[in-house]
Amino acid sequence: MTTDAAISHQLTTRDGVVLDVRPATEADEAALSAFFDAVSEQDRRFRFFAAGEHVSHDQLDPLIHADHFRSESYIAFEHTTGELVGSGLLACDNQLDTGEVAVSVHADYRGRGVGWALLDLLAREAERRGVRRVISIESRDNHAAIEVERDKGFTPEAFEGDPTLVVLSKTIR
Amino acid sequence: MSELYTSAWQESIENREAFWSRAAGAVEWSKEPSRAWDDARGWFPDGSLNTAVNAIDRHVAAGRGDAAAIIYDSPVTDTVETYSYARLADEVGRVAAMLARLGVERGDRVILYMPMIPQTMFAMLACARLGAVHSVVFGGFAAHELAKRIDDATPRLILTASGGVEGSRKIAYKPMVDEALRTSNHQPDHVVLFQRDVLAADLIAPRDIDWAAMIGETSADPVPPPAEMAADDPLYILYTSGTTGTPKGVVRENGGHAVALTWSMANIYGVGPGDVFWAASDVGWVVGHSYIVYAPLLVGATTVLFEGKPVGTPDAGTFWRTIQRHGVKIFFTAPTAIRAIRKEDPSASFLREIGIGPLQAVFLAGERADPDTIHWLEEHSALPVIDHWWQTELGWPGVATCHALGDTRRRAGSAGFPVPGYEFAILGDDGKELGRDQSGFVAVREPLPPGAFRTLWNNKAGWEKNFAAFPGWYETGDAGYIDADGFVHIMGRTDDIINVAGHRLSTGQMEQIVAAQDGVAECAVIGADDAIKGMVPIAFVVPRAGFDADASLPARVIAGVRGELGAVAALKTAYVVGALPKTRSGKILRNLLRKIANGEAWTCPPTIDDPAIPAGIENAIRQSSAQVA
Repeated sequence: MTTDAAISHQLTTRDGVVLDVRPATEADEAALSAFFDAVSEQDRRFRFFAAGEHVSHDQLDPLIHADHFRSESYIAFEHTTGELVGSGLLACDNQLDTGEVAVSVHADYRGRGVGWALLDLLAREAERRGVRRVISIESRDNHAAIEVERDKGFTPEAFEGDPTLVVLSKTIR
Repeated sequence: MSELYTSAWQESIENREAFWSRAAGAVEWSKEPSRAWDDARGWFPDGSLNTAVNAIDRHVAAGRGDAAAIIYDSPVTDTVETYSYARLADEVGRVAAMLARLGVERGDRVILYMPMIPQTMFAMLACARLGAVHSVVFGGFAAHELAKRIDDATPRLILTASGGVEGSRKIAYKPMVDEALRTSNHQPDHVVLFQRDVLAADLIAPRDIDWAAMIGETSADPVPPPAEMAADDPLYILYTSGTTGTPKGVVRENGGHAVALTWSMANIYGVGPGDVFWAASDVGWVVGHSYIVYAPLLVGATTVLFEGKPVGTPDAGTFWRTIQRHGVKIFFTAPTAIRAIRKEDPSASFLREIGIGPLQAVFLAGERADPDTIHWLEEHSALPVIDHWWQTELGWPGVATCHALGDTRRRAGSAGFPVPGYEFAILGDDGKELGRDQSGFVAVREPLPPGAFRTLWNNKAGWEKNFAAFPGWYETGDAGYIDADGFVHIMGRTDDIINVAGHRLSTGQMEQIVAAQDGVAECAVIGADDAIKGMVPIAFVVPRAGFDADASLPARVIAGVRGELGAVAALKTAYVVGALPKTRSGKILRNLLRKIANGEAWTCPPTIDDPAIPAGIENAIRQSSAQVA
């Protein structure tokens, strides 16, 4: 195991989209802000549970200040165009017991395996860190994400205290 | 006592063709439909008719021209006027002639931004006669919302009035129309304005036209013949809140609408020719379209057009007075109206003193009726108080106790049973049907019955989305369960739509407006419980660095929402907080905010990123309340 923060990955989605993936840094704030403008309104709401038309500086903070230990934030660029098409965050609790993942995909790249590939990458990262369980918190209306995560072996259960949400979890060790 | 209902429901599901073909027999068709359902063209595919002819002309032709069609009761202007079917035919004919002179043709859209006056009904029916598609925009919406609807519907004309009266306040409509047209991309040919005695408006020539003058100018024009409309031709577009800022234009088709509403009057409400029916709503909402304007007239009954409020116009006895005065047989209102009356008159002294005449039942809809409110009204009126449930998309009730089919089963907290034509199921996250008493998504099996929407204006994809999550099912957007006895319980939205005093509002739309205000770093708008309105929106605002000490922030946020969305938004509370409770990935824990705002017991979920934040929110609320006190 090396200082993993610097590691970049090349991933090919099941639909053949080639992605260059690397950890996001403070320098990526403007690019991420523009990226979230290109995420569909509904997907943006599903990502932050907020409806603003632009993702604010405060909302981007965890995505550009990952500590590369408990949290890791990846951004994925389409290989040929270099366009930012995906964001994936892994954020673990202090004990590194449970890691929450959240993925967003550019509206033009939905349904092409980008979310699927980033989810795999985040799960592998969690496993490498020795995290016991990966969870994703979704609106019950986010059928697309729930379906992908179920396909990936996540199990849905009720979110205590909020009937509109569902927690999907996968035990990895 | 429920055999009639049970057999009707069963037939509607098992033998859809026969059931709805028979129901279609109650409508007057230019060309009778040869079948009820077609996968491509929907309901009554080869039939044609005119909805206004069914609502007016056929009753006059049947010798009922002298019967009362509309009773306009306006305590705010001290007016009571009765329009017979013959006079209604004449008034609608004159407005149709005016619209025709102004170039309105079949298929053209006409936006109505009008108050609760007879002219609004004349204009809706005149559009129906011409085959033009009306789109009524509720008067509580501000210019920005009106502009969005103008750009989506691209109307040939806008019809408006100088103003409306909301309780003791006069609301000028014309400045809203002017402002909307200043910002909209689409411009109509003309704005036709009805000057009311209560308020005068300035006209800008040549765009603006005086309604009364134009009626005078076209008084010798012949009444345009009714357009023969295919069953699936649109009658109207009615915009409703979506989860985002873009309103959804629900399209209602002529054929299914006429059949479903006619069926509902006979079989749910028990109202026919000679009966007086009153839906205390606004013509700008779906209840007003269906049950103030179209349904009562389609069956030859008398409808009450009431321009007033449940309280304050002039007092909490105004509903009972109106019911008594006009001999209302069936009354339909929202639970919030009953709560408002109860608050002013807890012992129902007005009701006792005034009486309720021949009233037989009260129907409630618009939001979930809480058992307490139902019990209060049942106790004091000694009448059945029947909660029922429907949506703009459906156009008529989907869950109800079919009073007119002799069903007397009611359970406070439930909206009743599936109405014939509707097959309900509760689905789990995986789309599988759940068992009795298990909560999940409330869904209706395809195809939806006649009257329900078959598209959204300019947005077929948006319509399809309602059927995409669970193939074969329409997703209502509500969560709920069906209990062991078959009662359907609707518990609340699964998305960010909230019900404020029976009005459907999007917290997401408000959030977009709040987020765009100067000095706002982050925000959340949630629906908190309210004793009168059912729910009210509350904003939590995190100020941007440098705006922490800006005491004007809450007021600016509230004014911003009111300015863009209109008075209907009802956002009156905004709390400035240091941070919002979020999960580790940055998802706002909205229900936790709601619980804190409600003063309910809450626990910190293990998924929260910073467990200190909820207490900070509680403090902010407490300090803010202390300041108000």
